Amino acid sequence: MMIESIPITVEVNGTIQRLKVMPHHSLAVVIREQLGLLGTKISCGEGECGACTVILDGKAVNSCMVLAVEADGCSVLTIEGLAKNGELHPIQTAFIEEGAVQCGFCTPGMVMSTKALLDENPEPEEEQIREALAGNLCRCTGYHRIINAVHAAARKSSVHSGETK
Amino acid sequence: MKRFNYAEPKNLVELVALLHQYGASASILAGGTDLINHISHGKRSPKIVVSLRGVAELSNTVIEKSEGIEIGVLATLTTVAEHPLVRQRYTALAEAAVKVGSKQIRNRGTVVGNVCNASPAADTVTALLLFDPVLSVLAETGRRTVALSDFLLGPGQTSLAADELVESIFLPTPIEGTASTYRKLSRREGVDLATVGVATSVEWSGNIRIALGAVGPKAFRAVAAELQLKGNPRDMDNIESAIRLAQVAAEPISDLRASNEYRREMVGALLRQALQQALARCKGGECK
Repeated sequence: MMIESIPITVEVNGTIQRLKVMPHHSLAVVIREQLGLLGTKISCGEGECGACTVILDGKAVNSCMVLAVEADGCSVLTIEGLAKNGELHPIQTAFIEEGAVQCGFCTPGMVMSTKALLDENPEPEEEQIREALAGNLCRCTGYHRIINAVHAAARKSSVHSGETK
Repeated sequence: MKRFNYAEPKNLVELVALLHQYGASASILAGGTDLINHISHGKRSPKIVVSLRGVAELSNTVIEKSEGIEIGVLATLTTVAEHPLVRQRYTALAEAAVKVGSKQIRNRGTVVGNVCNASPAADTVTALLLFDPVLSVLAETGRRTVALSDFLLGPGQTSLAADELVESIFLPTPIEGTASTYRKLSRREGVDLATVGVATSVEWSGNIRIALGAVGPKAFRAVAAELQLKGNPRDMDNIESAIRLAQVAAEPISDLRASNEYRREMVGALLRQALQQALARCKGGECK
């Protein structure tokens, strides 16, 4: 049986993309290899580590666990879509200021999970932050500075309300 | 990942026709959080993946019916865990759904998918067993209904034929004032499979239901323990007798997560906690 690519239309970071994707390719693979957006990392490839986290129609998902064809008609936000006009997003600034980045491999996924959390709940409790980030593994920081960065980002966003949207 | 074809049927007629045509060489895609791993690990190698996302008649929500609720095949774990009626009347199910995987997994994975994957440790299955769940199963030849306890056959095994799909799960309304809870033991607090799962419900009349997960080839109701507690669920000695009956009913295996002796001990510890919590929620005949 001949396996052919399938046309999809997907909005990525605000730009409409018309792509032809192979049915067995994950959204993560297409984001990296067809769109060249390398901020989204593939690490475990089985939904454990969260390095590939993107926001799909407003929800944080593991892009390695979503087939690219399933994103047809959807809107995807990756780490590259956060900075505007050369200015980092407040969540990114908070991660830098709080020293929440070491090797950086988990950081895009951490930032995207944080973005999804703060969009839904701008003033999360510590427990809610830990739950939202439970699916993002970091082998460097020990998490404390990441949690601090999320608190700091929430404070920044409440100052410039609406800016995380 | 091994290659496969992909189809997105637009309605049930197209869907069941595809399942009939491809049979065991088709895999049904709902949330994909189990299926994609199975394919990439070579556990399954479908010729075609049939997605449910475009099927007009299938639901991604919890629908309130006159005599209960219906959980659509595409309702995610997040949707079910956050649904007000589930939280209020089927509390154990909401508590179990929020304990599956991570936020990212719960945003994609579905309750029906968790059931069809038939893991003995599936959190939602253990909780669902408290509520007399009935599955609606569809094929080209027609619909059938099946109780969850009959649907599950063993680890990874269900009574679903190759050309069938589960379109929804119906849960009748529990008796007014029923309180329930789900307790999970895992090696770490988040994103881990259950080493032992215990779900318990209490009716104000004193009827108790107990379901145990990860301590047998499939989750099951501990009926002898339930009968022991019937009408006298608050007496400490009686609770200890019931716990011993639940431990006898459990047939845990030893694996990398725990030994069978440890699991059996923890059935006792978790059941004690679950009973206390459900009874506290049901204090004075007035459940929350």
